[in-house]
Amino acid sequence: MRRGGIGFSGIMLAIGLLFLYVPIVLLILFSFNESRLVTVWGGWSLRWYEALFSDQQMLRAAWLSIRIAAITATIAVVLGTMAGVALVRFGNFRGRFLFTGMIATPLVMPEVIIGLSMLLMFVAMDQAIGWPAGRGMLTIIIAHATFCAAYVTVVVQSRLGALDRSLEEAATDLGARPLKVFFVITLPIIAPALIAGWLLAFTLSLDDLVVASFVTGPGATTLPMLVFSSVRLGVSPQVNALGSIIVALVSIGIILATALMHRRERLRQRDEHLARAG
Amino acid sequence: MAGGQQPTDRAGAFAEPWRDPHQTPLIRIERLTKTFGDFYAVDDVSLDIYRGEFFSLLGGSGCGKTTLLRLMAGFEMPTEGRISIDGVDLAGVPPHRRPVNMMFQSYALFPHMSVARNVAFGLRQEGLPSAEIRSRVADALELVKLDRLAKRKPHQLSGGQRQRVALARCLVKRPKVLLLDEPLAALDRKLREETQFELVNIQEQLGMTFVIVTHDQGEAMAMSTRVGVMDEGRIVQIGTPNEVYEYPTSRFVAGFIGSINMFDGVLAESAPDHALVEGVGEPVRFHIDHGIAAPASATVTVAIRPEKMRLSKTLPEGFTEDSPNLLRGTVDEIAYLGGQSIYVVVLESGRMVRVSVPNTHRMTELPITWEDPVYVSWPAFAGVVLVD
Amino acid sequence: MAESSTHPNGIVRHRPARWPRRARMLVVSVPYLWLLVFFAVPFLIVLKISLSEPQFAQPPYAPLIEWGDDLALDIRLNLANYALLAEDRLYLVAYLNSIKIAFFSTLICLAIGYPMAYAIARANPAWRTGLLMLIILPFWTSFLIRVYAWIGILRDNGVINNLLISFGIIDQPLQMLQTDFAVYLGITYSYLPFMILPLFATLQRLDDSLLEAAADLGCPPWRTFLTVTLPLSVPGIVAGSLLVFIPAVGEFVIPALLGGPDTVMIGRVLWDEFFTNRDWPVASAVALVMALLLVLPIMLIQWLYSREQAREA
Repeated sequence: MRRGGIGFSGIMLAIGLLFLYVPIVLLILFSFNESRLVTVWGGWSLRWYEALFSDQQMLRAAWLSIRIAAITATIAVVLGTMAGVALVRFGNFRGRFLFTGMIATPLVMPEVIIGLSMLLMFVAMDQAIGWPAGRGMLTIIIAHATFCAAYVTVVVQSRLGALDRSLEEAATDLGARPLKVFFVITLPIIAPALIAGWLLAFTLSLDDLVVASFVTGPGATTLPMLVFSSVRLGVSPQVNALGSIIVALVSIGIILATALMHRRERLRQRDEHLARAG
Repeated sequence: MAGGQQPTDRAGAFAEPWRDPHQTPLIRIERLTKTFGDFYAVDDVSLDIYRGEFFSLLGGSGCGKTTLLRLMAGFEMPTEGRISIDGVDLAGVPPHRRPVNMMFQSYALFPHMSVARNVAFGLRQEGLPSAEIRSRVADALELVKLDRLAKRKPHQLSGGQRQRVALARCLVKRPKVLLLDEPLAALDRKLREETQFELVNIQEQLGMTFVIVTHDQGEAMAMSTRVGVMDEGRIVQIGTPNEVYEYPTSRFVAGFIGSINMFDGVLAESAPDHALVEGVGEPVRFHIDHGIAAPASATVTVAIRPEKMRLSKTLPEGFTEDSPNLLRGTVDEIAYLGGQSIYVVVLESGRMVRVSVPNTHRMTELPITWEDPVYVSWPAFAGVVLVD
Repeated sequence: MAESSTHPNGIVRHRPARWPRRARMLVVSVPYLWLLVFFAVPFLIVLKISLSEPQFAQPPYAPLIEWGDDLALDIRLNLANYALLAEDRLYLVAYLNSIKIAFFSTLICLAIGYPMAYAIARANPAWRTGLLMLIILPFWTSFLIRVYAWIGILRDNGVINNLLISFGIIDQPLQMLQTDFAVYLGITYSYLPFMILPLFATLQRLDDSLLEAAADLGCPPWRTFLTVTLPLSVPGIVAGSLLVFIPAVGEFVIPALLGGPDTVMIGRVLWDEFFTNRDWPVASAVALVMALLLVLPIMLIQWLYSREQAREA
């Protein structure tokens, strides 16, 4: 039923893609605008990129956000993998019901509630046991790792659930002990899901404004927090430049990843074709 | 044996250890039961398998054959009963310490490892020196004729090649027993037949004990020393391929293996050297040339294979109109299968009988055709009497 | 401890325990304790604080349990914060408004997203990867900056108004920023990919031969769509709608940046209560009621739906 014609859905697809991309294109276009008025064209210029790269506050915030995102993603992958393994492999362990609840809730809980509850707990913990003392990078990492771990768990859980159990059974049958099977067979096979989970957690953390705003303390201003406050004060062409850089980096990353996957898929198909032929 | 060819009887070429009371079995399964909830997957199975056997577990889907295999491999724990190999009770021995290896239906080749590393995997777990691993892997790959493809990844192989990697991976461990779960199911028909013989050759060459699970009776008949037919978690008959085909002990086995005509009857005469069965609902008498272990007037079933019946337009030689082992009917359907034809004959009572006729001549015109009135007859050795 | 997985016949298959006991304990307890301490306990603390009185102090709430002067345990439960939620219409309006905005944004996303997903699923396979990439790409870029991009477009001297004025269609700029319209636009824009992806996943799995069979049996394309395609894509519609609706209800950034002073949404109310009024107890009460009113029904729907699916399977 794949028809040659474009049809209603094809037109909607074109309109929808325009809708998705026109703002991004305009954002990039005006990042090269000479004029301070974001929407009045004043000729090509790189001045906002210069301004961005000489803005120490912005650079500090970006560096903080990247460090937080990297640490968060790593913790989230470790926690999420453990949780995914527990849910898929360990059956009905005691407390499983509460566990699945705690995995599912962060996915549907509005960020404002997560942020508020985490902050209140950090305050209470600080009062009760003196840790974490004050708030800042550490509390943001803990908060981010908590909700990111839920996302990673879902990714790992679905990959692990789709894994052919007989692969692990074969390894056991050939004499490998259960933990060895996990590290030598299971982990390498689900590695792509772990990488995807890491990138997902990294992006979620890098992008988060609300939770970080709640749990941060003096001195720890993440990039989204800084962007939000500068946007609230008025439109700032530097943000256009920042946005353009992010779009460029992400596009390059995604295009490279897609090209790589495409190439591997093509090689795979060629191999399979050859294998069938001879 | 729907194909009608004679079952290959390999038992003759072997000593038949199961007939020798002094032999001890390699695998001894005693009163094994496995339940999943209320469901009896394996129900009170006892079975002895001897060294060097090629034993097939045959049955339809859900009959418990795969569960039985997985119990031997240690992937399932029995609810009751025990399994021992070489006199060692396997209860509590985890799969990775059992002297058996399993070839999975999906082959379960590790996708991130080359063929050589897949085959070496089991030896590495034993911690053998790498020189020995290398030479044993090379031998195993040579045995399955894959030495040229050692560096390939599983996805670069065809289905048949993958199957052989899976086989080599098990063989290289030199297990006491090799368990094979539907080893040929994923291959296409022609390759399946070639591989059958290859498997048998390798098994004989290495003198290893194979236990295979299959739903394909032709496969089981062609390869096995003995076949265990399973139904609803139980083993309903164990015997050589010849025995289960020619001497089924139940309606289930008779109907499951090959096609067969079954008639209800009452034992009219029971002597040590012959028996006479009066048909019920059919004007026919069955003369059987051996004794039946049942009293006269017992209800029985007489089963006759289609290829043991003869079809003729005229009264066959040596028969009279009221002879036993004779039926009258008309030809209803003919299926031409190349090597043979299957005739479906409708009797006066309306029931159908299948008769297979070898196509020994090159026919342009069928000697017997649709709507022809015919006689169906069979010799006295053809009927199998089942006392249910 | 027996592991279980579902047997092909729908029978639960118990496997022997495989991982060593200590390793299993470790694997379960680390994420378990983490989530318990950093996710479940906080809600109890929110509950506690929502029941305490605000006070000017650091932290700005009175302790719930105190040793009284005569060393008697003094527990002060204060339901005033909840009473306030019931009395002040602001909160009720904010709840209803959030649900209304989220609901209609979800419908708009569905209306735009369904044909888009359909077109991608039906597209030439060579194009499909690229099209999907285009849908996914915005997700990986900054959400905040994509919302910000709309400010430049919708402002009084933004791209749209400038264009309309230069073509002489209008004289005075239209007020678009700081309206409900801008909020709908922003939510639709931000969450459209979340609607398209699950829809695409179900539509792609749809077997072409089903449509061919329907056509072969004399069903015209539009009726095939209504009687075959649409019912079979319900799982995708449900998943996509939840992925849009849930975050939209609690959305803070979009109403804060694109909405006007009248666009009250509950996420924004909570934020203001906390950061502007510094009233932690009321903020906690708002959070709890919001969690109960939103999360419980959503989890109930998902639970019912998954049970329905399990029963059908």
